[in-house]
Amino acid sequence: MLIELLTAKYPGMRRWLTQRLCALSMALVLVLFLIRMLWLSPQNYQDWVAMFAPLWWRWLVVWFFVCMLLHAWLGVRDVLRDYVPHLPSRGVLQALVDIAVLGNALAVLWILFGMNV
Amino acid sequence: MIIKKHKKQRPKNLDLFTIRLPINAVVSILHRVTGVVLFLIQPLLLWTLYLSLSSPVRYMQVVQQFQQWPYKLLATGLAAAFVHHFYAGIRHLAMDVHWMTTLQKARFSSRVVLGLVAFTMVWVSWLIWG
Repeated sequence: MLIELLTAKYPGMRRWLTQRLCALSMALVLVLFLIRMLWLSPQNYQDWVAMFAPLWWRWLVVWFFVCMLLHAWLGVRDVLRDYVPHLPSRGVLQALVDIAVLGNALAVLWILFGMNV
Repeated sequence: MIIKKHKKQRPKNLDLFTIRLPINAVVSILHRVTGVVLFLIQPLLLWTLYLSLSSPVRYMQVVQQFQQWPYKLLATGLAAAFVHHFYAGIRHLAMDVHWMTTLQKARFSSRVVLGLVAFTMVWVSWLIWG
């Protein structure tokens, strides 16, 4: 039943499930973030940079933002479909949202891997 | 014809002073609004993360900025938006797996969400302003 609903025949179901799985994933990673923040409790710049030093931590942050951006993209897409019936306007707004999501993703990658802190 | 006549006879009440959203609808629409707000504020948060990591001087600037009340207010507002989106989201996930879906239970879980938001925000406000 569930597997059938997830085939290409029902793309909406896939999007729906993706958004929920991203939400769950973010909630779990967030607990880890909180524990590490409380554990290390960074007090100055050195502590702060040291917290972002381990590679596994950087990838976890990237994973968190990938989930967040997918989740947000699907959510805003639904909002536009619900409230902007005028198709050309919706297309323009959706394009702006797409650009913003891609820009944010690139910014996250650059902050964590391109900045050489 | 019959349908048209029937439609006309329907009672209608759109007086904004006598109607209001039920509590479960309030929690639901706030989940949407806070979601959009959090999406729109995203670039600002990433910019702050960039500044805080880029150099010791900028790190201090960010820290000092958040000691001023307008930034504290902004941080409190964003925290409230996030906390509501988080708890209301868990409520929606519960409903996705068919838990607490009757009207009575949905109303109850809405009150639980708003209560948890209030409780968490007391703690967060204490962290920011205390």
